[in-house]
Amino acid sequence: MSEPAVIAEGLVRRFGAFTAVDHLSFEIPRGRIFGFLGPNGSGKSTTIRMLCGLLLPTEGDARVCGASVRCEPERVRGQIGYMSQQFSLYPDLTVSENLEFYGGVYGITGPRLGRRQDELLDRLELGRERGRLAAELSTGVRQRLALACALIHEPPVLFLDEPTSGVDPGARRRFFELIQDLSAQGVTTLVTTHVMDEAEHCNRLLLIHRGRRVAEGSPAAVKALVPGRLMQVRAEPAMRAADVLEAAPEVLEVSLFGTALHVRLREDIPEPDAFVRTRLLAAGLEVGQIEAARPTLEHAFLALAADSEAEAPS
Amino acid sequence: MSGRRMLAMARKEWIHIKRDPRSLAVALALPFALLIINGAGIDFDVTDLPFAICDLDGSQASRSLREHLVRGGLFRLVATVPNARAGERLMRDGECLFVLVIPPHMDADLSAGKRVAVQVLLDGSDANTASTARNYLTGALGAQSAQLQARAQGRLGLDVRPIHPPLTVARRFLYNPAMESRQFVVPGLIVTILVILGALLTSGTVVRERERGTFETLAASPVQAAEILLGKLVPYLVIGLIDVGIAICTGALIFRVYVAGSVELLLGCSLVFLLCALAFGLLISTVAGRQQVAMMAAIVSTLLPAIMLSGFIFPIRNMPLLLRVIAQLIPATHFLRITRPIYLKGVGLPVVWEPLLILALMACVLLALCVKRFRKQL
Repeated sequence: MSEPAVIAEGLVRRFGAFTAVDHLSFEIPRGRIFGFLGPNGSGKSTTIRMLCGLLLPTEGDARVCGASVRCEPERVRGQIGYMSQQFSLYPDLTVSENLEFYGGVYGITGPRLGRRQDELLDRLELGRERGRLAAELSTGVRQRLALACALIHEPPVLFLDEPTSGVDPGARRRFFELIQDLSAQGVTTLVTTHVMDEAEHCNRLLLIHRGRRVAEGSPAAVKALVPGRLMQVRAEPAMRAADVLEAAPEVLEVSLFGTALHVRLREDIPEPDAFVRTRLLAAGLEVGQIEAARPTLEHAFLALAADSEAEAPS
Repeated sequence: MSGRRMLAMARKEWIHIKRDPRSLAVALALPFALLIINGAGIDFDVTDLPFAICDLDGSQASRSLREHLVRGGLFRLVATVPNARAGERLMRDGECLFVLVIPPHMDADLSAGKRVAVQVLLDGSDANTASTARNYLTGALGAQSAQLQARAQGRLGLDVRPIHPPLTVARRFLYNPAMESRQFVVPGLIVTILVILGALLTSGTVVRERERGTFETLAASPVQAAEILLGKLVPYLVIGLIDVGIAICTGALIFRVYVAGSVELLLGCSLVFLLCALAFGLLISTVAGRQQVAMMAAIVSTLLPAIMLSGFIFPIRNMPLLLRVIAQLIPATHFLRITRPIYLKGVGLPVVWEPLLILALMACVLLALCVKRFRKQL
């Protein structure tokens, strides 16, 4: 088996007294989609910027396609495509001018540039927008163009920092289909997100919170890590019900889910439905349907982040 | 260094320029407009100086003196006043620049062979013009006095022997025979114009990348600091050279100030100076946080020194030591040592090589500083 495309070993980045990334280690095998999941400010972008060679790690190192980000960032830069969280296009350049510029920056010119451009325009459905200024494009189209620019030099590794923020769900799904196509062709992708349904598209997820690893595994495995049993509860008034249940030591967590409550109970409660119903009725509340629920990545994230907080003295 | 990447950068920058026709129009119209405004405005030549006369003598001699002054074209008589105080009131109102007071009995005293002092009251609030007026006046009165004395004595039948001063000065100004200030203002203005343009054109370019967010993507690509900076410089060098051409043509067609030396040499030297000016703009661009800040900083830090300290208006020789040292650090000072000699004296490379070399070194240092600062941010 070949070496993983990305290997991070004990990455740490501090900004003064603040530790943005705290000893992160992970590996991304070639051709995989690796999701970086965490709330804003959890250290996702900082990690990506270290992997791109934009930011020097305070401690630790990472290898991208065999090149060390600490010692040979120039070699890393030739191997990666990077879509930053910021707008990376020139608004006063047309779609093809943007592509040509990034091609030139990566040393691609002449017939190869023309071929590559045609390929990408076709594949990312940008052919019709070719002559339009980037400023005139809708957010979804811009995002595809930014991806095309990041792909112009056929990089084996792709770093996408929240690529779909501000894009509607349909466009978001299409975007991930593209990533999956690329993955099938052997491109390794690291994508950060805080949108859970995006995370479902990844082969493997790394959940981070406050710069620390919270959990890692396939989406299913991460969901299975959620401790306790999850119930969906309908009760009136919901806010009062939440307060009542939260006060019980057997209840691990209560969250609002639409009009219902999601209640996570300790595993060792024999009849969870009865337990919840009794509690709520005793408090004089109106109780509706109670049923078991499947944990989503959102639950996993909330539960695991809460656990990690409880473990780690801040 | 990769030429390809630099070229991609230059081409992109060129598209930015093309898509912003307003800025391009400003860049091309600026030399023309500045030259017209300043070329007409900055005129150190003093003619037609308004004055008042207070003739307490009323003799033939005093009338002759007045005639003499008015005929020369340098002075314009605006009023005849009964006393010095009335003249001073006119001066306070800005009606005249000086008052000439001819004492009573001037004619008689001259005839008696006495020395006569005429009084001149000058407006010291406009010191430059006043001192020029004083010089003109001294010259005019000096020439007249011997003649007046001879005539007065002749009338009395005395021995007529004009007294000539033993030493006289025969002046001839080389390179600018008519002593027209536009002859040295125009080559000075070319320096100022390039300073402004250089700073304006490039000061925004790096900040803009950072403001737009494209900087981050560039930083993650293999493109190197020097490639980005040189790529950004090239299109502006072209525009700058076109501007020099426009300035030279404007000077020739409108002000009739022609390049006595080689135009090619002037363009070549301008290229080196432009490199300095653009590199300085880039340096500001790598430091400043926002485009507007960059532009303001660029104008303040280049324009004022270029006008005040480069020797354009005030001679460096007369400055206190500290300012003289600063003046030597300003590229405009050295470029002025090139443009004026080429324009007026028609000299060639054997004369201007020294300031040219200094400019080239300055350009190298500025570019190196840019790359250094820039690399840190990449």
